[in-house]
Amino acid sequence: MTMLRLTWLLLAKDVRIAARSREVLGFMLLFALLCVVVFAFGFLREGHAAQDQVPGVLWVTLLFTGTVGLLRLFAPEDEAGNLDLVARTRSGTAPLFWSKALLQLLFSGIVTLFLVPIVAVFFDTSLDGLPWIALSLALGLVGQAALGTLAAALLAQVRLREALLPLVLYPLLAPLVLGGVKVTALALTRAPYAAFSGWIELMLAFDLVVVVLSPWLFARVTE
Amino acid sequence: MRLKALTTSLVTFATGFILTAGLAWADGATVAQDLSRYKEESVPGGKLMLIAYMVLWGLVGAYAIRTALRQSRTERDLAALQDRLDHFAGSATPAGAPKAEK
Amino acid sequence: MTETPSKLPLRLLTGLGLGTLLCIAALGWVFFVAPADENLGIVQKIFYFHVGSAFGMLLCLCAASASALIDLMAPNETIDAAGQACTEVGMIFALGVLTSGPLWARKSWGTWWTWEPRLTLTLLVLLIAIAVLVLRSMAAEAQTGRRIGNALAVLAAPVAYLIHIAVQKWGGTHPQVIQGGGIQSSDMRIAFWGSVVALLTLGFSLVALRLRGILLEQHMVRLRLDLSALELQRARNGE
Repeated sequence: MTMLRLTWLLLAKDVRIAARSREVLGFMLLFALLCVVVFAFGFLREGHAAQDQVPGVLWVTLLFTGTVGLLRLFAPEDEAGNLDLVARTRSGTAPLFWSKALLQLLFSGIVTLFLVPIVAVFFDTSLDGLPWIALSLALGLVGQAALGTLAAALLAQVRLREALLPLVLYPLLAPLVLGGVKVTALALTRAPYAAFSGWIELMLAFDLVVVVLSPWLFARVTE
Repeated sequence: MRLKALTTSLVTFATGFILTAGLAWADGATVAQDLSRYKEESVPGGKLMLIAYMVLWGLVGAYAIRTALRQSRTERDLAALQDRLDHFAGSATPAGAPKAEK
Repeated sequence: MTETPSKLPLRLLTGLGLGTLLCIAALGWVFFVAPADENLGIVQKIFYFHVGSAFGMLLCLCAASASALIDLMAPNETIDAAGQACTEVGMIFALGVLTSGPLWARKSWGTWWTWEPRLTLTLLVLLIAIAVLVLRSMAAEAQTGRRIGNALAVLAAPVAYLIHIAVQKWGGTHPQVIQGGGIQSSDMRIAFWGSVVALLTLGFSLVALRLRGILLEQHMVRLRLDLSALELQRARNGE
């Protein structure tokens, strides 16, 4: 069985589990909504939500919601107790890693599609520069999914993982969050691409690093 | 064993030093801050400095003492353990039991 | 074990003593020989040991990352222990940087904390170092902790470099760092490099001290296993 096919099979299995229970994705969507509402309360000024907080609200909500998804990422294998079995395929651990990363990417992608209009409506912003925002969101989600899958796997055998995942994840994701917030803020003010091209390149570099390093380290950790 | 440990730490440290030097070189090796344009005399600098030094030495000292205390406790336990092992070894020596390598 | 318990080997004691003496000498130079800064006055004397700690932090954490990589590629308990010792000492230095930094900033920038690139980087790197140590200690088994801690430490190195770039771009509008300012006389330069050397010596001795402690603990775990094997064997023979 080739690696791609195996990855696809594992992903399809996870999607089927998720579709049947509808737990994780539903909870992520709900959590994202709650985050935005709470942030809107936090940044309310004279009855109006502050528009200039939109980039921060968007990215921090995505970060928090992604964490919620990551905590349940290895739950099916955890509950069945066969994580090491699934990891020991003939193509190594790569299919498991990529299927989980793609699942996380899928979930957070759906959350983002739901979140952006919600933020735009609640914070009364016109979404100028949407293509660039979309690009930064895509880069951010890819990096978050790759690094997050590794972090979730690191924490699979650790006590108190709910408390520790943010400790592992948030400092490492700083370049993505900083870059994403900057690009979103600049794109919202219709700045030209040159104004934030450096940030896009930085996010791209980050994605490259984690996409290469994470599966390699994943293989070393789950042996 | 101790020599090996020291050599290892030396090698590790040297690796770190080379890496750091490389990073600093790539970064343009900025060492000092530009202080010239800030002239403000209302803040008691001496006190701040004193606190900074006290915290720094407190941290280093506390760490050194904690590590040393923990180590002497480990050594005590180790000696007790070794005694028990020697006591056992009198009756039967198991195959493959590593001798204390200190 | 030839030595009596609770007695440190001479080499380590020498290292620690030398580090301490160098630090005292450097402090003496800083306070009694080096002149006070023309603009900032006495608070500038934080600078010498602040930057020295930053050097120590960078060195220790780079070494920790390198040894984590080595241990992942070719497992070696001593290298792993050295990496752990480096992470701990690096964390101590980072804490030193993060307390002396704001105290100095209060005087020179008029604020306790600015999201100045170096300060931000130090904070994030400290958080990552803490994460590595916590992961190690929270793992169900020591070997698992070793693997996941090292994986995180390896990932941390390139990511920390990207964080460095990111915070440089992000905090780019702050009152900034120029090349080689600050040091105004040769006495100051001696104080600066003297402090750096003294702190690095002390840091190296601390790493060696901690490394010895970790190796002793590993040895104790092995002895415990031996002992329980022996006890099991005796119980079997007794039957």
